[in-house]
Amino acid sequence: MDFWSALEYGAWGLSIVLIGWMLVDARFVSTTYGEDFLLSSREGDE
Amino acid sequence: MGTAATAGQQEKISLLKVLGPVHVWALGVGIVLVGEYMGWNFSVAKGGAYGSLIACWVIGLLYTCVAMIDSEVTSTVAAAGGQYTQAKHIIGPLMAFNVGLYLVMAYTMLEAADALVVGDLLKAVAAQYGADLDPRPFVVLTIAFLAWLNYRGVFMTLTVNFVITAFAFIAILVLFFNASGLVDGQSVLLHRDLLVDLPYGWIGVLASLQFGMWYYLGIEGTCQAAEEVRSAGRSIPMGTMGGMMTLLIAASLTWYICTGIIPWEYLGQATTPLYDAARLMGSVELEVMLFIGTMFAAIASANGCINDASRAWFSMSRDRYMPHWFGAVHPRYRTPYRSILFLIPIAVSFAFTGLLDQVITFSILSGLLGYTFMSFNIVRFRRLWPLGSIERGYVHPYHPIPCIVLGVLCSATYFATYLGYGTSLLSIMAFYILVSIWFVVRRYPFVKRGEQFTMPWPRPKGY
Repeated sequence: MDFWSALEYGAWGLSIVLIGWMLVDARFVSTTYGEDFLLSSREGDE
Repeated sequence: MGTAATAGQQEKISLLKVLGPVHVWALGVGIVLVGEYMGWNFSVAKGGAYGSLIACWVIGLLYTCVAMIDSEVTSTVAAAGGQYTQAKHIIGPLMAFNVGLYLVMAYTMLEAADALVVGDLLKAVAAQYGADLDPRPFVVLTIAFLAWLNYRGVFMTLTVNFVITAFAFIAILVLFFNASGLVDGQSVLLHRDLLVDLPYGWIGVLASLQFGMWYYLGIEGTCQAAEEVRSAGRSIPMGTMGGMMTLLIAASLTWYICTGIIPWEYLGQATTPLYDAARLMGSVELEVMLFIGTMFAAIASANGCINDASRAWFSMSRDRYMPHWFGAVHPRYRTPYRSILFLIPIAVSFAFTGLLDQVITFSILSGLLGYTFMSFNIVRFRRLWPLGSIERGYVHPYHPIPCIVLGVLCSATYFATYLGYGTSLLSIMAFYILVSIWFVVRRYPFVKRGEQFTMPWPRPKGY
């Protein structure tokens, strides 16, 4: 495997890690906090 | 954690107010500066070098009007969603839905185009070493990394944007000082030989207006930060008008450098004109600097687009114009994390079509529809809430001249777009009409009408 192929695989891998991290974190947040709290932001609130 | 909790009330969460004028500048200029590195030069193909300069200044006037009007309304309607929120308060729900969709489409498509540019630049580098690089993993990585950055917090996101945008702007200044001879006394610019009369007459100048928008497209995105700035009345006007001044300088210098080095017939077809100008100067240092500048400009633009598209989608969801589930705020990072996540596959899908010019055209047209809205929005805003009736962070001067100029220039640009991309123009109009029907028939019943109007304003004049 040459340098450029390794770079392509590395980019795919890093993308999967980053997106996976966000999905896992989002799932964790949804299970830890109630929906009422997560959706409690109101326009104009300080 | 900064959430507002008081006895007897449900604990609430909100976006974090941490941004200052510098971040607003970084958001606006960051989205736009890639247009100086590529795209603006297609206006040269339409109207010649002088035609492009006229487009640069005429469209600069259009965007100055946009920045003035936006600064006044946003400093008063200080909420995420920007023009969507303005439309909701000043015009009505259907206009707000359309404006919100213009914003999401314009920024997501621009983000996809920026990511495509990053992939293509890396492919070009690999080609110089004889390799055939697949740009797709780098397109996905660009979108994934910037989405991750946005997910983790707005302060770091826009601080990074400030650094890389400042580098990209300084690279243009350095190229100008070197090309014009201000550094070593030897100018390499050949305007006297390269500048010719208008090759296609005034109709060519008119046609070039469409691509003149590349010099400034996206500066109005600064108002998406309104809910996250410490002082909207100070930061939004300072960041937006400062950004507009930066772009006018960058646009004029870019035109001056490129038209003095590259003949207009070639310049009109170049993919990366500033980088090409640096290469033609024969300096490796300048070539490297402008390559990094091009890369940084594309990344900063994608980064700002993720910020803006997610805020627009978040605001629409918060009002139930879209599913309410997307209106969640992350309890630790205080970002609209579900909206950021949701827009990742949309941006990747647009990017994987590979149709850079079509994606950009749809982005420009969505932006243009938004500017048209601003021209009559400010008239209604001043009529319903005259000066003195509500507190404004900033009052733009010479009203109604800016909104009249904006309306006229938008009409001219529609005509210019029709000349080159008539089918795209009609397609996007049809798309927005269809989704408007869907909104009225299917979606609006879910909207809690009484909760939409959140500004502590008096009853509008005449009501």
